[in-house]
Amino acid sequence: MILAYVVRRSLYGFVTVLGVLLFLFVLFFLVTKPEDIARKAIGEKAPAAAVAQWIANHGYDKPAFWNPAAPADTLLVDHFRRALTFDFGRSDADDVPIARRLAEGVGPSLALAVPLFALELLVAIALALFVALFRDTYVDRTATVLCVLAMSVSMLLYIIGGQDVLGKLLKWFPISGFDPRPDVIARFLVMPILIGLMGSVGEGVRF
Amino acid sequence: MLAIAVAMGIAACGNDPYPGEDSDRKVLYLPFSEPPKTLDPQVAYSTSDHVVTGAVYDRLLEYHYLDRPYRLIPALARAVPSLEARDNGHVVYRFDLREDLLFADDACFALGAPGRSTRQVVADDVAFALMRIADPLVDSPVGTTFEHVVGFQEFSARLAAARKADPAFAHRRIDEQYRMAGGIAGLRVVGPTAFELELDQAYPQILYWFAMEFTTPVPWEAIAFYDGKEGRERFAEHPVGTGPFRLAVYDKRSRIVLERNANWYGIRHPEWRAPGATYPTSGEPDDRARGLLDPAYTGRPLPFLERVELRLDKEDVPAFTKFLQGYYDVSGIVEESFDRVVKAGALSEDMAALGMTLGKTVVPSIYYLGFNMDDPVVGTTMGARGRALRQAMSLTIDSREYMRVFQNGRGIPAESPIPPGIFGYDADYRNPFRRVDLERARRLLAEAGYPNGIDPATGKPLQLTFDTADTSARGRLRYQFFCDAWRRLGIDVEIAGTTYNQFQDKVRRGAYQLFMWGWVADYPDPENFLFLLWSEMARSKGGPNTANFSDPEYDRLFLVMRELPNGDRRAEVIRQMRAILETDAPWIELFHLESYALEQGWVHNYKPLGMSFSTFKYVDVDVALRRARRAAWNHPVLWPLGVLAGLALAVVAPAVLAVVRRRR
Repeated sequence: MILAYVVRRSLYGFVTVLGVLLFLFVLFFLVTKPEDIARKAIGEKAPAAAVAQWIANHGYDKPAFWNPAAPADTLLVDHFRRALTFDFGRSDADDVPIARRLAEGVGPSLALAVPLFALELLVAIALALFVALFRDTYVDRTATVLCVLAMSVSMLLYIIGGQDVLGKLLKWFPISGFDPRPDVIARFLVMPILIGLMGSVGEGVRF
Repeated sequence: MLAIAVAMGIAACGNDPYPGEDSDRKVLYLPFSEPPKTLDPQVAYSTSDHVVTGAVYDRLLEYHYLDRPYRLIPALARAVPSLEARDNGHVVYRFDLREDLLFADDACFALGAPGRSTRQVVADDVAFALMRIADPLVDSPVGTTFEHVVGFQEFSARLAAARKADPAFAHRRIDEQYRMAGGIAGLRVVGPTAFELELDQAYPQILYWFAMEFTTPVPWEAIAFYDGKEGRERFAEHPVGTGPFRLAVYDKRSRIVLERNANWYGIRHPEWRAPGATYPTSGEPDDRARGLLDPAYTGRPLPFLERVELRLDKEDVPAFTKFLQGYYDVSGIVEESFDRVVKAGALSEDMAALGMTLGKTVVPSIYYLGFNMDDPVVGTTMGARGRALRQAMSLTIDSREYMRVFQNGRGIPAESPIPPGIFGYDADYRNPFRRVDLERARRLLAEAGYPNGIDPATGKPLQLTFDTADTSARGRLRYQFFCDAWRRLGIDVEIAGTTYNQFQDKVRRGAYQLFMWGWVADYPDPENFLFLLWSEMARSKGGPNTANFSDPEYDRLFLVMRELPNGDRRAEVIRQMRAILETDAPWIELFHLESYALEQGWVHNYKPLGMSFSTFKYVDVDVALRRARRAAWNHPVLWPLGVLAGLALAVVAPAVLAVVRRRR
């Protein structure tokens, strides 16, 4: 019983993925022309011959849907094959393997996201428990008001305001930058974490 | 929670983004906003690429740092070659490289001889670079420029054919492929460090292309070794060059580091006093006053810096703030802060008090509104009526006002396509149609057959379309400025805004009427501006003459002007061409862009350039002054910590006390 359900849901999911891939294909290959991708990559000043060469080199000169000579050699088939085998190939902009680009980004993203998530949870729960201790007192009511106020402020304002105050006015942390070396990474992470906390504490404590 | 707060407090020891780095060394810190797309010198064509390739790859010729108009000086070559005409209409240039030039140390040279880490630069390396430009697989954007080199296209075709005919051929080592394809006939290596370049017709501007990275000598070992396989990097990310710096760290999404290249000829042979490796002793009249001809530097061997540190800072406001804190040495000026920094064209007192200097330079560029001359309403088919219409529309556009509103006044109003700093620019020339004269405009409009802007065919205001590629709100405001000006004549111009892709499509199909465009010079020659109106370059033929301007007399003069050396005769021909453009008005010339740069007081010898070539080798920094100023400007403000702690306690204490009392 359960098995049948799981199988059915997985199949639906798979079909949805195929549909999304088809939609993406239409969006990226039929709405955007290969010439435009080429011009973006090699610059506006490049002559038409260079654009044609780029297109040939990157395999965009294949027909989109149907190739009478070799039915499997079309952009559509390529697109599906590569998406389903996770062969992302190389970036059109600068020829770097996309898998490497993803891998490079994982480190810094996690370095920020994991501590932020953990701290948000801890701080929110700690504060919420503290407020709950004084239920129906002025602490509780003030906290509610403050939380609602905090939630109504846009995250963008926290970010820009926080950067301005912490980095520019108080000069506690570098305004921007990142250095993965363990002895200095902390100073680059603290400000984004603090700002993230400030932005999320309103919602976290109240709910 | 207390523990967390304390930990954070310890971790944050200040706002220095370069903790632990020895800022006691001569290091230049600069921001970059876009990562380079490629470092392959035969492909790189944008300023973000040139920041690195310009420092790492030296060229045969380069521009004198201070003199204007720009002029060529020899760099890797011993002299700027002169022309030798042949009977069959061909021309030959002979280049002599300096002896004893070495590439930067690199592991790839072990391919040629085991254990070797560098080798001499020879004429074959320049030939190799040109063959790479001809190689279809390299995707070089400048192949068409070198088509006039004898045998260039034939080599390209032979190479492609050989690869197609025999799949095994394509797997051979790259220098073998080029050799077996026969090389380029017009590039004859006549000695280890000498070669002759033969062109099938006169093209004096070819020398400028030897001042760009496309023609830098490239070692075949680097292409063969850095192929991206088996964990090796690709050549597009691993330069092996002859320049004053080498790429030490290339983390292009955050940090790029250039370090002094000990193999550079300027460091190994200061006694040569080579023009490209010695600080100039002459310059423009203003340069002495600006401190660019300080006797402490003139005539001294280059480079002065040890390292250049480039950090990615995508947003310009944080980058500018870090500059104001002293963590960047040179910066542009963000629009939000412009009024604080620049007052009446000069540096404000606040900034001057911080010791900064403002550098201004005109970028050799032209920004203009263009008419599609193939269009039936505004173009050449309308003859004198069309001309009157274009002239009338030109008489309503106030370039100065446009620059004031949208660019903080940065720019020089343009009277013709040629900008200051380029031969052929006449500072006294005034284009009679590039001023605001509504009276005359209305008269001309009536002559054109549209009295008060009314189109007699429809009885309603003349309808024109302004085709634009920028759909942002900001862009729209700019176009609205022009439409409002034209509305004063009674003409109704509708903005047809599309994405960049769709705009390109429209241009390809010829379905456009009015457009706004800009052009920044590749090299400082009037040909690089006047060719934008040459009929051979029409958009319908795939070229950048988007106005599709075609005038037989202009074309004839263009071909004459192209080959003349700078002098009175050339100036006269350019004046005649300018007269044609003045009457026919295919463009409404708007402005030549000015670039402003702010430098810290501890930066020496920095002259902002209009063109994209690397000048790190001329720059010096006063390290002690920087350390002192940074320390003075960046004391963390600690009292808010105390206040926050006090507040928190004040709020929480009564509640805690209440609980304690309740418990008791």
